[in-house]
Amino acid sequence: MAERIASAPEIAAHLDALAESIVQDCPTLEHAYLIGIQRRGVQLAQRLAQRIMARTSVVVPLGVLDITFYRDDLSRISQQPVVHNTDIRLDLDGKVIYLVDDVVYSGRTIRAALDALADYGRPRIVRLVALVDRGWRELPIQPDFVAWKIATADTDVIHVKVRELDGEDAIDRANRADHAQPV
Amino acid sequence: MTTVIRNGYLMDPARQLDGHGWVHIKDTQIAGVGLGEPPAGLAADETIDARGLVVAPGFIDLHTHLREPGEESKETIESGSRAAVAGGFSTIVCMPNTKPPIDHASLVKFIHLEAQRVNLANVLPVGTVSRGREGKELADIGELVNAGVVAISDDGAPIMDSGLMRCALEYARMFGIPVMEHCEDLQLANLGVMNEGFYSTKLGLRGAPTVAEDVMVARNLLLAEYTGGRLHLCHLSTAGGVRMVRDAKARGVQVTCEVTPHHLVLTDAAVCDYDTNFKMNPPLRAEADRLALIEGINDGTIDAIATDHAPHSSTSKDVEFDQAANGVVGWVDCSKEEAASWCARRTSPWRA
Amino acid sequence: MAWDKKDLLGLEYLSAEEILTVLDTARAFSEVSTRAIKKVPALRGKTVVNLFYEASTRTRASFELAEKRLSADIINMNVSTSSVTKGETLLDTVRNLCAYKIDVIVIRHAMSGAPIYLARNIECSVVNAGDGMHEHPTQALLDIYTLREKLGDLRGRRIVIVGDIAHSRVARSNIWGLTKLGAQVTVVGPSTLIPREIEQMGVRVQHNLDEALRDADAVNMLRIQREREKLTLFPSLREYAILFGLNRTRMQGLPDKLIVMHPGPINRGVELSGSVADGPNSVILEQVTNSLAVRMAVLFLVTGGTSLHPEHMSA
Repeated sequence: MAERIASAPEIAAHLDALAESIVQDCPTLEHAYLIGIQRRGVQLAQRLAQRIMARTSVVVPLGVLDITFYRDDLSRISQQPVVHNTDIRLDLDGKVIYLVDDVVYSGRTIRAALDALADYGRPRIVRLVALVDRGWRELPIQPDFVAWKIATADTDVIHVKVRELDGEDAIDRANRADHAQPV
Repeated sequence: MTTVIRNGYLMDPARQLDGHGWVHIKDTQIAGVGLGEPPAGLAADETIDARGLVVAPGFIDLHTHLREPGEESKETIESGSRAAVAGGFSTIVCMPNTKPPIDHASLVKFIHLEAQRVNLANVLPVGTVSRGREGKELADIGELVNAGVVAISDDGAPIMDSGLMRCALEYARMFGIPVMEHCEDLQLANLGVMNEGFYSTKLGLRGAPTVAEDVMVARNLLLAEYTGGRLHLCHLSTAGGVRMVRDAKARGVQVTCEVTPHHLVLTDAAVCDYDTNFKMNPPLRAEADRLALIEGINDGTIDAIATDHAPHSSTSKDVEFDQAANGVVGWVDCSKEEAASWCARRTSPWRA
Repeated sequence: MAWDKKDLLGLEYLSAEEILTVLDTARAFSEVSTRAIKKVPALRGKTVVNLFYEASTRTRASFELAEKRLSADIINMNVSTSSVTKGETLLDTVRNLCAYKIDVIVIRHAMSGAPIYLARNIECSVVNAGDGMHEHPTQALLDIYTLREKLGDLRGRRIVIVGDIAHSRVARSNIWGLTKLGAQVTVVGPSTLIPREIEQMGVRVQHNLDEALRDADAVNMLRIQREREKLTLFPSLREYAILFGLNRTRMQGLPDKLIVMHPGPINRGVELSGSVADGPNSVILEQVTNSLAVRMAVLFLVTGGTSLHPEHMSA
């Protein structure tokens, strides 16, 4: 059975705090660009954009990034993963990018995301925003802003749910044996 | 040396035998045959238990390709004879589309000599209708007959010239031998590599329509009727062909025909994987044709099952479908029980 | 839906779900070609051989560009058919290539079934870039992709294919793909160029183009290739253009929204008049653009495919 780590009210409170951190980090928000990593980073980035607008009246542009083409394990896995859309319409040169992901784990997704961003342009700054840092990093990558730091077993699966895709906002912990990792 | 074969299923239409029985062999001769148990006190040096097996006289295959001379990498008179006897055939009629074709008496003699040396099956050569199998002028048919051919045929190369076909039927009539004809209008067949139908459409393979065969069956029947010559239609494969032969026989035309085992058990659906083993000419046809062929056997319209044994080396078959050679080996298929029983129930009305 | 096939041999052998998987993946790839850096490392370190036994300009260019935008390494081999019939067999050629540890063979061949024959005999992925009169699956996938961009769900949509249906691999692949996605397909052409049994593939046959197009959503005008056939299957290109060509006059009586497609290269003045080919109904250049995304998707998916047997075995 999954263990619930957080539910909707706590997540909302932490998103408020993350939005506040971004505003503190980049007070004018002039070149800020929120980019959500497919899949659940996309919804989290939307929420952050809404909060930032509510607080500052500034509309921060939103982008969507699918990192599949940049994964370093494409030749190792038995089947190609499902590819989702990428939507980055702005020139990245000189931007301050807030890369949003649900869970930071090995760091390989972020490595792929950084490679992808490099193909779109040369941002001035890239910051990493994550809801959960579950440890077990394999690359020298750390989030700049993170809501939860959770000690996990290697076999744990941390499942961030968002109501747009999963019907509810929650963070659950399950065991790999009885829970498939969400893509 | 005496041998008794017992418990086998005896099939011998000539002796009206069709049931479990025994065969008594003394040296190299059959000394006695009967249904049921062998007579009490029948002594034998050796007893063969043929339980579950068919015991029949050696089969005759009217249509085979031994490839020698010229394509010995595919088959030889020796290897073909071995395959034939292993499949139960003691007499095989070999087609003249060798390289060079059997259009000259000396080549007929070569086949006889080689068959005698091998000394397994009776090998009966067919000579060509036309010199070089080119469909232009008659071969020296009288000389071929004197050398021992049992029929003439340009098998594989249909005689498109109706005038030549008329001459062949008229001329061969003198010698009492049939003209064995591969019926295919080459223009209508349009280089088809399989039967024209749903499967050829789906697979994008050039189709040879049944009508390409039917048109020539019709022409040949008309010519046989007109000339009074003896016509044998090779490997009939279409419902239309069976119907026309049936009608012609009813009118008294001197026609016989054969069908292959593969046309009786397979249809063009077998090609659906581009498997070149199922590429043959005439091509495997549709189910309606297959059923008509079986009906033709049952009502006597079709006189014989002949394998059209046409071996190829793997280099001729392990290629793209369009490039693959036509033909399939016959003597493995024919040892199947169903084909064997068909073979055994009917005998050819014309004997080689 | 997950993809597990190592080859793309034809649309006959794909399910509707698999076709949609390719199209959805293609949509993701379409974004790559809009960037300043039109390249992703998805096939980095993979080797693709474009083995073309038939002359082809656009299909090869499209495949080659798709491969380059996926960061694959490429070898182009153009083998004239005459040297094939004289020299080594197809299988020998390909086995030699496989000895270089290549990952994908994109093959165009004049003989139907050649890619299936190959896929049965080698381990690397085989992508059919057109085989004889059999299939041209990537062309049909890009046609269908283009149609879905314009029409959305194709269920119940009326699609007309005009031309030499008998000898067209584009027609066959489109028929399989469109019917699997629920479209109603009508084929139109001279009766000598429509196979007798084509209706068994789930299409309707018409010989009157105006009637066929009256309630159509889209029409795919195939290239007429008179040189293909030795027999005279229709009297003249002039008569063909009159009976089966799409020109401004004919367009006037047709639905405004009719989508006009052509797999190229166009015989202007035969299948299509210039005014129609370049007119507002034409999506011909969009087809070309979409060809990249579709071929990128196909190459990406087959390199992840694991099924040991060619898909047609289970079809």
